[in-house]
Formats: sequence, structure tokens, C-alpha cells
Amino acid sequence: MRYVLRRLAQSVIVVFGVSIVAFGLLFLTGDPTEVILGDGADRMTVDQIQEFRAKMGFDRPWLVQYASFVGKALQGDFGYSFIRHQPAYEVIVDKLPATIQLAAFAFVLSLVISIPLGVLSATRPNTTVDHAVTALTLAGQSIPSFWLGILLILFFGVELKWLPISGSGTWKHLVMPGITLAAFPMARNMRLTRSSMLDFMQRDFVRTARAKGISERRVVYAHVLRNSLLPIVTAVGLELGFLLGGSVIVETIFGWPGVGREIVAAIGSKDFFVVQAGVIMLALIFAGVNLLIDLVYVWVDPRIRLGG
Amino acid sequence: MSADADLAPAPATVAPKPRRSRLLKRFVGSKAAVVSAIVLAVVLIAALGAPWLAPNDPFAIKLIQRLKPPGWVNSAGATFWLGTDALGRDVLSRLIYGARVSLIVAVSALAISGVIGLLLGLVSGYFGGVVDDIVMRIADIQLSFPTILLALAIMAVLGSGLDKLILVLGLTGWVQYGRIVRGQVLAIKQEEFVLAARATGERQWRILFQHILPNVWSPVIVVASFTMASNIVAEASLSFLGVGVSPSVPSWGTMLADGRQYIGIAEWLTIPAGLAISLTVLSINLLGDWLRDFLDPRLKNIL
Amino acid sequence: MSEAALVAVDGLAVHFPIRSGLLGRTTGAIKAVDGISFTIAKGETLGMVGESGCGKTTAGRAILQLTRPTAGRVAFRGTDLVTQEPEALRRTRRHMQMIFQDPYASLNPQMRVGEIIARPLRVHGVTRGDADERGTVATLMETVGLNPSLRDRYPHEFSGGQRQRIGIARALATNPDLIVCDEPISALDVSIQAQIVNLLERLREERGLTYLFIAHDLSMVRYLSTRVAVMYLGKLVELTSSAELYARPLHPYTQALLSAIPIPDPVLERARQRILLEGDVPSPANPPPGCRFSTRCPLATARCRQEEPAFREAEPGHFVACHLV
Repeated sequence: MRYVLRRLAQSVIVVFGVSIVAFGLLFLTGDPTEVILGDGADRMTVDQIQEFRAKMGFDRPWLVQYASFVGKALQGDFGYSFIRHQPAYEVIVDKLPATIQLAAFAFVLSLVISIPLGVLSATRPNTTVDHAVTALTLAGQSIPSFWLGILLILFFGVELKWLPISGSGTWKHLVMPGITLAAFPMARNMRLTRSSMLDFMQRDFVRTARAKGISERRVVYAHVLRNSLLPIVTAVGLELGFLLGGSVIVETIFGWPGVGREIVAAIGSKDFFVVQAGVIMLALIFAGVNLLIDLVYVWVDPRIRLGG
Repeated sequence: MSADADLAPAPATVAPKPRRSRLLKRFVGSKAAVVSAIVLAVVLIAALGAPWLAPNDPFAIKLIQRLKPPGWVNSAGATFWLGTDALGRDVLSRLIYGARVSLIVAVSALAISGVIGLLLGLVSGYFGGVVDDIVMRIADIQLSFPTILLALAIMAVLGSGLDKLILVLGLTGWVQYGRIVRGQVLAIKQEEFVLAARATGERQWRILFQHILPNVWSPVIVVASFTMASNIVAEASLSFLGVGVSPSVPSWGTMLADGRQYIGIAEWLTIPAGLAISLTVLSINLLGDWLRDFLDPRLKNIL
Repeated sequence: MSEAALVAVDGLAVHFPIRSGLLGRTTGAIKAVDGISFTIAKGETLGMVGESGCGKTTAGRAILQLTRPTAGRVAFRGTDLVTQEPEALRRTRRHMQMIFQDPYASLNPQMRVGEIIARPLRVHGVTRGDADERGTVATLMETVGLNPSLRDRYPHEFSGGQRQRIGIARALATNPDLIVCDEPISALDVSIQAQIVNLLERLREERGLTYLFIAHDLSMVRYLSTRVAVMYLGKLVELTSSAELYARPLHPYTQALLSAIPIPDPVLERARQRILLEGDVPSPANPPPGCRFSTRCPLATARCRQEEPAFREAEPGHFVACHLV
């Protein structure tokens, strides 16, 4: 219980931090007016700019501006997109389902592929299978997602014409972005599963289980794998951060209509409020899911519950 | 007195050979490490010697010779081994200059985040208390942003540029160093030799920098090697998205961004740069693994 | 004796707070050292013995202010260390040093031996210039029986006994008056222990050192100490001259400890009556009321369980804390 309370308090601090960072983005260059108006400022008179500044409240003290920023944000007001002629919040929320769909698909894909392959290579150390998995792991951790995406497009989209290279709608559209986004976490999970299993197979309780005459199959699945999955569960939270961050790149390459592509597009059109709203949203989702994972973890693992 | 028995040097079992030869021996024994080092040496030579090695001017725009395939020879007799891009610039020359940008960004950002992380980790681990609380909360907040997203947001506001990119990657990258150094310091400050230094009458900052610091180098070096790889990817990613170095600068990321628009027409624009990034990152990762296992295999559990 | 006292400890206590709850409130304290008083005369060796966990190591560290005391005074050469300013205390450290229990953990693995021994010289400006420093380090190494040519080696290249000699050289470097020896031999092989004890004894004679020698068994302490203090659960239970303590122990706890030492004479050894103590040492977070030893004492009475005995001079020079004496 104490742990849960402390973890909740930590989340509050994180959310506060996210708000500070998001608010601070405006002031990075020293002049928030310039950030928001972008190139548009060139076409405005000095008076118009002054008027805009007063209207946005940039002449007020920072603390007041921050309080007003948080107050509005709590009501879902993240400013107005002058490009989309729509509140920034709506622009982002509309794109959220697509991003979640892609991230969830990549997440499931990474687990479904990495754990069996990790088990396979750990149970057959130093065989061809093991070497192939190790090579795959190294490649997955070293090939950046944007190049992997381009290679997939070149091969499956341009050469073989099996899969659409851009857009969304059918399951076919999901395949390449999903693989691209999943590649890195997949490699890491494979590596984690393999090393964790190899580690556990050396432990005494596994040797005892073998000595008792339990079938090798049962030893591997009931004793080794169950224990080996713990470090992977721990890594899941971080993985989500990677998936959300990576979605920015993958969505851009494959024209996937999600939050990430929207942010990149908004950067291009200097639509600041949309960038800000997108960053806040992804950071909050990340913090929220991490909190959820930690709480589930407490529930699952009594050691934390008691030791906290 | 029977002290004389101890005057002889310790037996060979407790006196391993000097470290340098051990390092070399173990290094040559690992094929992966040697190959990785060769790849990185090539990248380093390309980066340092770019002005002399590049066969053509990487900036020269000649629309008349745009999108020529690898091996194309122009009327003046200059060979374009990897072809030309959409503005008629030599891909090979840009690739060589790209190594320079990659390494400058990765190494400079690494140095900034390393120094910040090392200092904050040392101070917060050693002194604890309020300083520690503040530093660790800042780290939590920063970790609540996917790093690439945070860098993207900041670069979006600041605008692209090599110097800004270095600063942003440097300032956002300290958390990993900070956490690992803090953890090491927390463990080391419990050691009796730290107590012994205090008993001697050493000043606090000397204890921290002269007694404790030399014992945290191993994890810092290992983290640095992995950060090097992630910085190269981050530079390329941000440049690919158009918020890294300015578009005219030859970077592996900008080359991929340019080439992406001609996918299916001119694949020679995307293959070399992507291959360069992947091979470099792969080599650094392999070397980092090797270095970790050599310096301190126990780090395997935390890195 | 007190006019020649180098160290006068008065009511020294070290309590470690136990924190719990969301806000880390202090909900209790481990009373590692709970009010001990004694003096150490110049030139003597005061042995301090007790089972592990009795607070003897904490007491030794608290005297040197390496662990800050919760209460009490430690007068060293006439000045109270507890109230001394940090910078003045740092300079005082030149005159009081420590030898540690674990010769593996107490030497910085990243420092060459010559550097380890030279640090105190540099910190306190003992030597002038590099040549002087090198010469002094060489002399120190020879003094403790190490070959000065090994100065550029790292600690891991030495055996346990050699490492402890390095630790001793470091403690000697500033030519201190007092050295707190915290179980300096208990981590060593038995064959090496006697060598180190002999070395310490020789150094004391040659240099007029004063030792606080902390140990967990009485056998080695007897040989080294002028006087011996026995500690139990944060308190002193008995303090007297070495000869007196072994001949006529007054406290039941001391008697039990002494009865556990084997006698190297088969006839006497056969006649030796061991007093076996029952039960475990109570937790220093929650010590029993009355005499702290009452839960395990074979002679305990109702009074012992209610009223804490005073630490008093039962006979001239023989202090004890027991109602039954």
C-alpha cells in the first residue's frame, strides 16, 4: 500500500514535470510569439504582433502564464491550430486511435515473435538456430527503423508489390509499419529471453527439477520460462516509450495517419500548439501506462508488495 | 619478528600480468571485436580525411547530372561511384562527409551528457538528501518522455542546426549516466576504503573525485559506447525527419530523407547511407558488448 | 591515570534512526552504542571486546567521529571532538588514525600502494616535495615489513597479510598518537595473525603509540592489552586491567566469554567449565529493561530485570555494571 501511494505521488510529479517541459518549449527561443506565428510574423506589422502578444498573455508574469496554461489544459484546451482551423486537442485526439492501433499491433508482434525465438535459441545453444537468432538480434538492434522501413518498402512494396507502401485501412497496411516499429523491441526481447533463460537453466532449483526426473519439456516451460519472463515484463514499460517515440518515424515513412505523423507535419507547418498537444498527449499516455504496469506488477509480485 | 616472510613479492596467482597486454590479448581473441574495430576505423578515417578522400564536392549542385546511377562518368571524366542525388550531388562524397557529421554529433553529445551525468550522479549518490531527491525526480520526468520525442519537440522549436542538435542530444542524454553512476557511488561509498579516506582526513570533494571517481569509470565507458550508437541513430532519425542538421548538410539521415522520395526510381540513394548507419551502429554495439564483458561482466545485469 | 588520559570518552551514544512510513518519519532507533564512558591513557592499549553486533565497531568509529555520536563527549588531547568544527576536526585526524578489519575492502583497488600510503602525508602536509615523500613512503613500507620496490603495485597483487601491512603503514604515516584498530586480524589466516599482532606490538613500543584495540574474542586481546573493556548490547559491562580481568572476572557475561577460551594445557582444559549462554542477543532497537544481559544471565534476579545497574568502580581500577557484585 505504501508502495502504491509512493508510486502515485511519483506520477503526480512526473505529470507536473511534463507540464513544465511542454510549457517551457514556448520559451526556448526567448520569444513565444515568434514560435507560434512562425513565418507568419514576417507578414504582420509591429502593432499586430504586439496586439497578438497581449492577447496571448505573453506580457504577463511567467507564473501567471503557467497557471493559465495548466488551467486550460485541464479543460482540454491546448490552443488553436491556425493551420487546421480546429482546436489542437481535437487534431491530436482524432489521430490517437490510429497510433494506439499501430503501437498495440507492434507490441503484440514483438512479444509473439521474440519469446518463442528466444526460447528456441536458449534451448539449443550453439546450434545454427541459435546463431541465426543471435544474428537477427544484432541486426534488429542496429538497423535504424527508418532504414528498415525503406528496405521493406523497396522489397515488398516496389519490387514484389505485395503490400501497400503507404496509408491505412486494411490489415495489409498494418504489416510493414508494424514490423518496422516492432523490430527493435523484438530484438531486445529475444536477447533478454535468451540470456535470462540460459541464466536460470544454471540455477539449483532447475537442476533439482531435472534430477527429480521431470521431463525436459516441463523443466523448460514450467520452471525456466516462467521465471525468465520477469525481466521481460519489467522491460515492457520502457518498450512502450520506444514504441510511442518510434511511431513518429514509422508513421512518417508509411504515411500512417497517427499522432506521430501529425506532429511531424505540424513541425513542418510551424503549427506549434499541435506539436505541444501531441507531445503532452504521448508523454501522458506513456506515464499512465507505466503507472499501470507498475501497479499490476505489485499485484503480481508479492515481493514488491511486502518489501515496498 | 617474522615479517621477512612477507618481503618477497606476492606469488604469481595474485599478481596478474599488466592490464594493457591482457586487454590486447583478449581483444585479438574476439573476432567480432576486431572486425568491429576495423569498421569503426574506416568510418573514423572517412570522417577525419573527408576533404581529401571525397572524390567530388559534396555540396556542388548540378541539376544536369541529377539521379545518375552508380558508376556514371560525367563529360569531364569524373566518376560517380555511387551515383548522384536529385540535385546532382555525388552520393559517395556525401556519404564520406556524412561520417563526419555523424561522428561529430555523436561524440560531442556524448561528451556533454557524459560530463553532466557523471557530475550529477557523483554528487547525488555521494551527498544524498535533497540534492539526490531533486536530481532523481528530474531524471524521472525526463524518462517520462520518449527521448526521441523530447528531442524532436525541442528541435521543432529551436529549428534545425548541427550545434542545436548536439546540445539537445547532449542535454537529454545524461539520465543514463546519472543513474548508473549514482548507483555505483551508492555502493562504493559504503566500502571501507572510503571510510579510510575520511579517517585520513581527506576533504569531501577529494574523496569524491580522487577516491570514488576512479572506481566508476567502467560502467561510464560502457554506457558511453551504447550512447554513441544511440546518438548516431538519433542524429540520423532527427535529420531524417527534417529537424536535425540543416537539409543541405550531408548527413546519413538527410541522405535517407532525400532518397526516400525517389524510392523505386533511385534506390542507390537509400542503400549506401542506410548501410553505413547500420554497420557503424552494429560495430559500436558489438564493441560495447565486448568492452562490458571485459571491464566488468557483472554489468551485464544492468546494461 | 586520568591526568595522563589521551582520550576521555564520556556518555558516548550512537543511535541510528529507524525510518518508516510515506514521509520517512523516525519511528525508533537502533541504540548501537548507548552511553559508554572510559579513558585511554597515553601509551596504553585498551582492548575492547564483545560479540558481533554489540556496538564495538560503531564505538570505535564514533570516537574518531567517522560516525557522528548522538550524545556524549570525546576529549582527545584535551579537546572535545564532538563539538569541533569540521575543518579543525579534519586537521586533528593527523593525530588519530584507524586500521580496518577488512584488508581487502579498506584499500582503494584503483590506487597504487605507494599512493595509498602517501595520501595522508599529502593531506596533512607532512612531507616537503616529491623526494621527501618518496623517502618517507619507503621508510614506512620498510617499517611494516614491505619491500619498498612494490610501491607501484595495486592492492589486488598482495596477500591479505601484506595488505594489512599496507593499511598499517597508511595509519602510521602521519605519526599519530592514537590508532583505533578495528579487528585488524580477524579477517586474516591464523598463521598471519600472530605476525600482525607482533608488528603492532613492536610499533607501539618503538613509537609510543596508544591503541584502542577492538576484537571479538578475548584470547588475542589478553596478549596485547594493558586494560580490557567488555561491551554487551551497546553498554560497557566491565573494565579493568588485563591481568585482573582474566584472573577475577566480576561480570557474569565476562565469565561466560572467558570460559569459552580453550586452555592450552590438557589437564586444565579437561577441567574447564564452559558457561553456555542461552538465547540470542536481543535487538539493539528494543533492548530489555533493567540489565541488558538479564535475558541471558544465569544469575539474573527480579531486580536485574527492572533496574539498570550502574557502571561503577567496584574495586580500585575495576569497573563493572552488575547488581550482584
